[in-house]
Amino acid sequence: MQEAAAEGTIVQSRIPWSAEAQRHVPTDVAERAAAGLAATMSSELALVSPTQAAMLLARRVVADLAYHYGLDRIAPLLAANGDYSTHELQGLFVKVLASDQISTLAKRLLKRPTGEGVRAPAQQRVRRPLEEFINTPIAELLWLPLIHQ
Amino acid sequence: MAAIDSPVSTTAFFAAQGGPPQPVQLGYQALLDGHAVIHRLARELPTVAADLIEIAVTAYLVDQFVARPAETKLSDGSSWARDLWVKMPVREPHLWNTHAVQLTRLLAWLTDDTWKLEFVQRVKGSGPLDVRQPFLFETIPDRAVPVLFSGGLDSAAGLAAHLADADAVAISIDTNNWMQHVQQRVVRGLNATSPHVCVPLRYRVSTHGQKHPVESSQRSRGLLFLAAGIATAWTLRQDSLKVFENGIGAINLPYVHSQSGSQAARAMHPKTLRMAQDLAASISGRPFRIDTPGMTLTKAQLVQRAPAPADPALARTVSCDTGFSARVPRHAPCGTCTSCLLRRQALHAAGKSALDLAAGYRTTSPVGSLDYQAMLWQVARLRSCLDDPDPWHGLVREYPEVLDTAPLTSTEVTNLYRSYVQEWQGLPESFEIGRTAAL
Repeated sequence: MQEAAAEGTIVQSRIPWSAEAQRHVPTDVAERAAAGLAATMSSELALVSPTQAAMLLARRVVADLAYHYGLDRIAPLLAANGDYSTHELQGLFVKVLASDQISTLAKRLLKRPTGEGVRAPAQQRVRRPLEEFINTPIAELLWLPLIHQ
Repeated sequence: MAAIDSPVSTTAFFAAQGGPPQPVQLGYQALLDGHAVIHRLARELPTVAADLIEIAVTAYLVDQFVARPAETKLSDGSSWARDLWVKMPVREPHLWNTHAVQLTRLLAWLTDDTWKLEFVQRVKGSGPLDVRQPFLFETIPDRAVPVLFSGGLDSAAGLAAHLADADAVAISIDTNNWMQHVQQRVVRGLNATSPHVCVPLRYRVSTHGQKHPVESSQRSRGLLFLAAGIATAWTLRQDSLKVFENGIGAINLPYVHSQSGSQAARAMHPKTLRMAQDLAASISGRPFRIDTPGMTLTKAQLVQRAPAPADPALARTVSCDTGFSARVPRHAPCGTCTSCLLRRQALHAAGKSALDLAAGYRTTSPVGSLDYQAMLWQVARLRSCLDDPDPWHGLVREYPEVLDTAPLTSTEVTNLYRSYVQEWQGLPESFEIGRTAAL
């Protein structure tokens, strides 16, 4: 996949797309991420080291999986509730995906490219005084640990 | 009913996920009626044309008979794909077995499923499209262009624009009486206001004794429509077909990224049309062309091309996902599905909001609907892509699917989405539909 991305061989068409991608959503997401990178960053990929190129791809795959299985599912719900505007949500998601936790996860994915056995980095929980919990809106509590790490 | 291993047969068989084969026979489990077409043209369908339609109908039935895995069973990352094996009788088994891989690829692209197709000799004269008596006269209209017609807003607007300059043969498939009625009244309306003539040709496809299909996604519908169009074009001795579909609807980028593969339907996707065109050429041995004059246009732009006298006919079209369902009281459109919302957005952006007021939606305001929010979310993301210093790269990064939109150029795709986003930005407040309905 990484070689194909660097060579741009999957830019023209996704057909014939791999049988694995047809049967397995994360593989499909990863193949599309590779195709997107190859089409838009071929010169950048050619200039950086293979390790850096692999990291770019891994970050992209993790981000796309985050959208696929989480962010894109909750965004319309949050917008419908009037909790956030679409613009605010976009900004929040960019922050989340730029966090160190995501970098760590991308590095772990590189060590296990099939995804088998990859575990999310442990969350560094911050103990908060009870008073703060009582006076903090729940929505803020949900986002704080991710944004501030 | 023929045995499964018989070399000559009247019955198709299918199996799913390695299960036991089951029969599916046109005339028993399902109806395929093309007599309206055959008698109007006073001409028998060429054997490959009849085969193509019957293959598409059989695939469509199998698609409905086999349930996709439930969402709860997809937590391991599996897709909604199925393994489907179909053995069907055709008039030209050697030809179809030769091109089975090409057909399989098209079905796989449309449905995400893995199809295995086998063809055997059909018993002579046993097909639902066979006629038993030759015709004496031909009544094919001269120079009439074959076009696909669904009864929806795009096909009606495109047909209205076409009829300003030329005659047409409008090829339809209906699955119930209501759909047939809608298609007929729209064509009547267009004929009443157009300088040229539209000859409607319709096929009926319906299942017997099955109120609700086991599987409702029906992603093979695209092949059904295209097969009917291509086969009828061949019967008219033509090697081209016109399809009126707007670019936004045809490319159908996922509203949210949790839609994967063909969950965002690809019935009239540029790649689908390319593959269908290539298949038709391979089967017939002659080039075949599918023209898509609306592919670089938004729905609003396509509607704007229709002459004003066609407006009453356009108002009678149906876009709703449930609009042709016989179960919906008074057949009122829902007003909140993405198809209804895109129609409403297009009519308002095209300056034809009066047509929207007459629709009588079941739900007047979409503001709380998730589909509406998903559409707004997609528009916000598209806007971010187009704000990129290189908008095409922005689009590809966010939606790698746009890489598969040839023959559209990157500039055409970029301009298409720019127009679409601008239409949403410029929508009048009256699009806040609760207010519209109150007017």
